[in-house]
Amino acid sequence: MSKPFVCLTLLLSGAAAHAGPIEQTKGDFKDTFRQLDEHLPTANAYRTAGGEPGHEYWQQEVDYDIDVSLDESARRLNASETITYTNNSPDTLRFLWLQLDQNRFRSDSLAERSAAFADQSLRGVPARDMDGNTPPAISLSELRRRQFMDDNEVGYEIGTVKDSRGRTLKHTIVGTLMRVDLAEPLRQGRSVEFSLDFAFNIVEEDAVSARAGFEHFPDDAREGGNDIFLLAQWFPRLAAYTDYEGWTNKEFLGRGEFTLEFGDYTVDITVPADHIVSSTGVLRNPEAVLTREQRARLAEAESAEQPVFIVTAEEALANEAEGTAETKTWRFEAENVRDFAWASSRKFIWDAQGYRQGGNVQPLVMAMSFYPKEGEPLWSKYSTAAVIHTMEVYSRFSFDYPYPTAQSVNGPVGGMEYPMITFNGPRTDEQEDGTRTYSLAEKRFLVGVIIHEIGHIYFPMTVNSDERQWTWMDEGLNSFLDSLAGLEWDPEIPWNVRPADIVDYMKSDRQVPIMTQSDSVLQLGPNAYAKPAVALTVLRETILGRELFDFAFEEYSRRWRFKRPTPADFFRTMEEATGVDLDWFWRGWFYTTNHVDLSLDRIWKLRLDTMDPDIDFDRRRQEEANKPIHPSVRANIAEGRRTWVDLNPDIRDFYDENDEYTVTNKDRNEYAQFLVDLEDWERVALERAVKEDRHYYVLEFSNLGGLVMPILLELTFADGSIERYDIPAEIWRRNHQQVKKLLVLEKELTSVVIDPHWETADADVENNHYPRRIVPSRIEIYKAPEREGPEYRDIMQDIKTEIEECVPGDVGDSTTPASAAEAECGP
Amino acid sequence: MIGGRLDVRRLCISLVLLLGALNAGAHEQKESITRVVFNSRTGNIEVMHRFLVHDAEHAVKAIFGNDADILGSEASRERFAEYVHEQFQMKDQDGLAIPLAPVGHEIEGRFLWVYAEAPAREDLTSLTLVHNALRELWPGQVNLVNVDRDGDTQTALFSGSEREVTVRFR
Repeated sequence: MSKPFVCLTLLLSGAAAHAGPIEQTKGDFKDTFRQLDEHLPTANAYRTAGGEPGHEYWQQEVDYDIDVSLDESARRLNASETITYTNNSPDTLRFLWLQLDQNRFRSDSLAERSAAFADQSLRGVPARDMDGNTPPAISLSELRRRQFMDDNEVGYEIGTVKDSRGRTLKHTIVGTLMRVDLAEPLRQGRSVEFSLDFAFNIVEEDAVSARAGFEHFPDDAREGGNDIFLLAQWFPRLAAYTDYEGWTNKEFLGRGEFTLEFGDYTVDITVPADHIVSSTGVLRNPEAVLTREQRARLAEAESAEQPVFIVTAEEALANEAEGTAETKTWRFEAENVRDFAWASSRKFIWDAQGYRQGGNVQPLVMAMSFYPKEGEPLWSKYSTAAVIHTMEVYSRFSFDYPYPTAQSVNGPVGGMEYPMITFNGPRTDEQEDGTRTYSLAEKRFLVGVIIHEIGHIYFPMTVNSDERQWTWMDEGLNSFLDSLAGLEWDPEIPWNVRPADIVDYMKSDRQVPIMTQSDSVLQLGPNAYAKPAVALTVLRETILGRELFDFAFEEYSRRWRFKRPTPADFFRTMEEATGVDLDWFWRGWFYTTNHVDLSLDRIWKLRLDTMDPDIDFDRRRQEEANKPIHPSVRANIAEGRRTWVDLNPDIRDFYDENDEYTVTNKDRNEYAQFLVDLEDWERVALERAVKEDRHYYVLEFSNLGGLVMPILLELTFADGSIERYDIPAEIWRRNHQQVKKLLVLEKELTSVVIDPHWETADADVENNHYPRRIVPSRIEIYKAPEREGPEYRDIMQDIKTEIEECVPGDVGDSTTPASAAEAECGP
Repeated sequence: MIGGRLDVRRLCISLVLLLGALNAGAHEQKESITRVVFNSRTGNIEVMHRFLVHDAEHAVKAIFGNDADILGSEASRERFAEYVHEQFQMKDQDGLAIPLAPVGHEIEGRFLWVYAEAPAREDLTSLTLVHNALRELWPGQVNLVNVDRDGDTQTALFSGSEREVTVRFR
């Protein structure tokens, strides 16, 4: 006999145990308006309680002087760099940490080894796990990635690290990080200079998905084809040292991007002589690398109204057919940037247009685009225009574009941002007749991605938030702004992050709070892009209004331009500058996984008693008379059954003539005494209220989603008029689950709806209506036979219709149109 | 292996046509959201998939070739809808497939919606979902399915190695 199984039930408590310093240990009261104090860092001299850089704010400066050469045939970079590190912190540093991001691709990296089978954490590992019925699978692209890794030595080769006196500095590589031990402790205000040689083999972006790398074009006319090289995270860069975290030496796992120091760069880039280089910074030796004509075109572009070709399509086509053994060295200088990226290819068409933004910061910005023929004719039409448009809009919401160039480069990366340079993926399709075409959607992707990536030059390239920790701080803010810029590009294109679009994500039970470290977020798109962008939209359009929001957002941008904000600095600045307590909003939207679902459960209609028995008693009588009669009595009447009282009138008495609502002088005397006893102000208030006889309603709301929000009401009255009445979120402060609100109105109410314009991301619209209204599902609407409105006209089909000649029929008696003969029409 | 044999199984090659320009970048969001709603008014289980036009167009290109045009071509939308129907399955508590009838598809702003439905069954105590759309096409695709029944929402999240997710009704 087999032993019976004993089943163990795992009991999970409903609420995650999250004991803070202050706890509700009796009852279930939840303080959704509790200030975030214990969750935010204590203010200090570096960061104020108002979210501003403090009077002793500091950040390090790191300047780079790099010589790099691209070995095109080996697809390899060889470089040497001299780094000047200035310690502005009050601390004495005995070692420095550098980021070695290329080491992420090594087979023994933490990112590689910690990637679970069929896990999404590595960018580029599609595989399928096994289950009962389906065999496991591995994708061809994953095989390609692994084969690339097998065939190529990837990761950094680091040479000796030496200080300026030639002393060798000990360095220790820890995954994607390298510690350099200094010869002497580096005190506050002092600088140290050191140099190192490094090299690495460039990964193939399409094989590895690395935010950078090479892309090969085997079909180009040149024998062996050509490559586009996108170089980013390409040099050992100093990790940030901060007042809030010390060294930000968290391993690069692939998703949480970068947090770096500002500094000045001089970079000499040696490439094949027929390559065109796009780079962070300003080209300092155009006479050495550009033709006289190209330089003239660049000068012309500065004041042009349209993009000017520096390298035309024909020139690029000729370039990519040739090749050379010669090299040229391009010198770029960049001031006050937090990173440096570049791109190089002989395939590049190059156009440029000066953007005269005025002001003192950067009156002229060169907007430029670099793309192969595979991007045409889309890129020459839209790329540089989108770059300029982005600067126009973003500058209005934040600050003047701070750099001399803004570039958009087409290569194998879908979309990625660096100071002054962005990589954008959309391409066109070659048709059989040799032409290249693109769809409307692809055009929208191009404009959208360029706005987004150029926008990143503001956030986080200038407002230097910590991407490795908080993706939302740059992606959320940037998605919010790119929608605003998109709407100003062409409102016909559906850009906006509508609150209703995030509802399904927010009500799901598989999500994490926005305040989650980047590598641990379950769904980065809705979590770090869309939800924070919607939150900011709700703040701007609904809770604060544009004037308050825009002032505060600009203030945040101004405060943290070229500085390093944390989430607390953002939250605090937005409160500080608007004068509105928003802790409940940050708590609900950023610190929890609650969603918005407010319900209007019930409305009571009330009428003020006059206290005058001659009025009130009759009202009671009417109320009683309006109630339905007892069902049995009703049935008796229907049967014609007469009552004893009716049949025997002799038993009727006083009470049959005078009901219980009969007013007596006793009642009248009491009323008179009541009036006499009132204070003067009480009597005035009562008399006025009785005279006005307003409509009193009590509305009962419940909060089903957990997230407290303002209750935006649309009131519809018996006379057909409509009014908006907003109840601030603070109504929930003493009971976040259920509240009642008294409305005293001049007109009779017939219906009420919460959030009629879908501004708050309310998940269940049906319970927003009182009386309830059926809200059909998308499928019900889709299947509904009558689909009216101009958006349902099939104009594409209708436009093919030929005009018809109509011959009027016998109109006949105009008073009986039904009898009129039909007009005949024919083509 | 100790005390056992190495478990040898087939390892398949999954359909993947990874295009370079489609790699997840800082901008792109490979995500879909599906509502599975027990609609008491219609007596149906309604399945409403929401994809970004962006993702749908690139998927059709990757699978069917370069002439995809989700906004401009009904044929492209139809192809994508058919693909989605193939990739999404529901099973009852006994593991039997619940056949879904395609209803249609439409563009709404940035989204392409794909609809299907099946008659609701009172005897359903659980629903096992499979949602592979786009997951074998590119890395990082996450499909979120919210199952709404009697006012309750339960979520099946398809990312990484999740192949089947079962939601149980209380």
